[in-house]
Amino acid sequence: MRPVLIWMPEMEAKDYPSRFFPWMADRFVRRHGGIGHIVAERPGPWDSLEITNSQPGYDWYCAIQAKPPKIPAKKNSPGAISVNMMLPQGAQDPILDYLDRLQRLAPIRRLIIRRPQNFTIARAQMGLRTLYDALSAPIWLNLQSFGWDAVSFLCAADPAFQISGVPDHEVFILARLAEMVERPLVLADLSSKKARPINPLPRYDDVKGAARVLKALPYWVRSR
Amino acid sequence: MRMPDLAAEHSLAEVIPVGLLTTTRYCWAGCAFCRLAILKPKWDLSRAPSGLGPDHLNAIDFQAVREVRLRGGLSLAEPFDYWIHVIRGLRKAYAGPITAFSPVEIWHYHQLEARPIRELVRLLRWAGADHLGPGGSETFDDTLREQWSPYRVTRVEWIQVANAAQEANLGISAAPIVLAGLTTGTWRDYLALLSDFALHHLEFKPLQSQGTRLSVMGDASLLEVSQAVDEVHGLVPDLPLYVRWHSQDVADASEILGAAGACALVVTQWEVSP
Repeated sequence: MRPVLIWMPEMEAKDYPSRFFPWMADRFVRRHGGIGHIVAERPGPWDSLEITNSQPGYDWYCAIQAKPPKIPAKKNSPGAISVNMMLPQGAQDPILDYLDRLQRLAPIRRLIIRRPQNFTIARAQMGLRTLYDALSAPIWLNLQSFGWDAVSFLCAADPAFQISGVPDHEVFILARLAEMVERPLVLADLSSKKARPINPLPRYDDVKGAARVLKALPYWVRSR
Repeated sequence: MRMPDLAAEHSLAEVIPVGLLTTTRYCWAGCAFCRLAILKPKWDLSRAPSGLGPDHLNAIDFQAVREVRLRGGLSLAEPFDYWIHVIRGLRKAYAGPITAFSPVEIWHYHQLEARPIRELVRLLRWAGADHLGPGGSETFDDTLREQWSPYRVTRVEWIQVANAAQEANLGISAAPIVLAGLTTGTWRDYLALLSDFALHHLEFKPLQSQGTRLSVMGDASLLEVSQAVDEVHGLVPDLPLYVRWHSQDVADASEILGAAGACALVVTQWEVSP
């Protein structure tokens, strides 16, 4: 059986004013049937939670921008780590050493990979394969930096990849992609909650007779 | 789904910027996949606003494009000879390849003005057109045609016009619509009908369904297009394959479709409508 494709609604605290964030995060999770992942600055009541400032025992969302954040001491080690990073430029990229040190601190739960602007798909694919061989952590592709075309191609070529940051209004594209690559689509987050299967989109019969189509439409668009 | 191997040696699909000149946006045919035309019944069509005029050609930047295409709705407002003069004017202003009309328009004027098809295509050639557009070859499947475009040319009519165009030394091409569910068998049947023609190229038209009657089917995705290109390339490796590309992001598509076997992506540089 092919591995599932995950739709994980994700909400980050940095995108919202901090005062209203807990209320908005509650609404966000409830809106997705109790399944949704929250990335907050400090611990909160949500089942699927990662925090951006590492704290002992909590899952850490380690976002690497220009400079990687400081690795905490072993005694303050987080539960698990998600790393949001740019795709490494090659096997000599210093970020790989950093990942190695992180891995010794706590298990890396997922790598969220952003695509550098000048990377072709072939180069990105090669980089992703190298990364996967080196770390064998699940790889999530950042949709905003890769774009739907690249993400569709990479997921079709390699069933190990997941897509991160799919906005709600584009889930139908994810559902169509899941059908095309023959992977079941599920709504899930990082908690222990059971994943909820998403049914394939309804198929419309495209070979019904012209008369039936015409009658089904209001008269002012019947002939369009 | 088989994906092209990007690691293997392949070239990127070239990007061909084209300029589109719309003769008129009014049409009586009402094809389901058409996003261009504004439907007007035949009895009212002669009163539609006038179409493209010579003045429209003055402000155009011909340097930015590698091909100019003249297309539009089926109009009753202007006679065929009017368009011959427009193409003549266009030929003076632009030295590159001009694609003018398609079997759909030629058949329309053939019926409307009771003139032989050969005369119409020869006039097109005389005016300076290099190619006849692929309109009418979106699908040769009778069931789909009846559902989508019952008033468009039939398979037999398309072949008749294409034959005449080939005799008149006009280049011809075909443009199948790409959507979900096309199989190798579909492509084999499609290509079998075109086997007598020396096609200049085959241009895939990914279904753009937004704003049309087919909107429930959604737009064709890159994976579907890539699969179609791959299959057709396997069947006719020597035929140049183009893809009409509507998205702004050309780089990724050029890489993936190039690996699948496409020679070029055709993108719209500018569009002039009356």
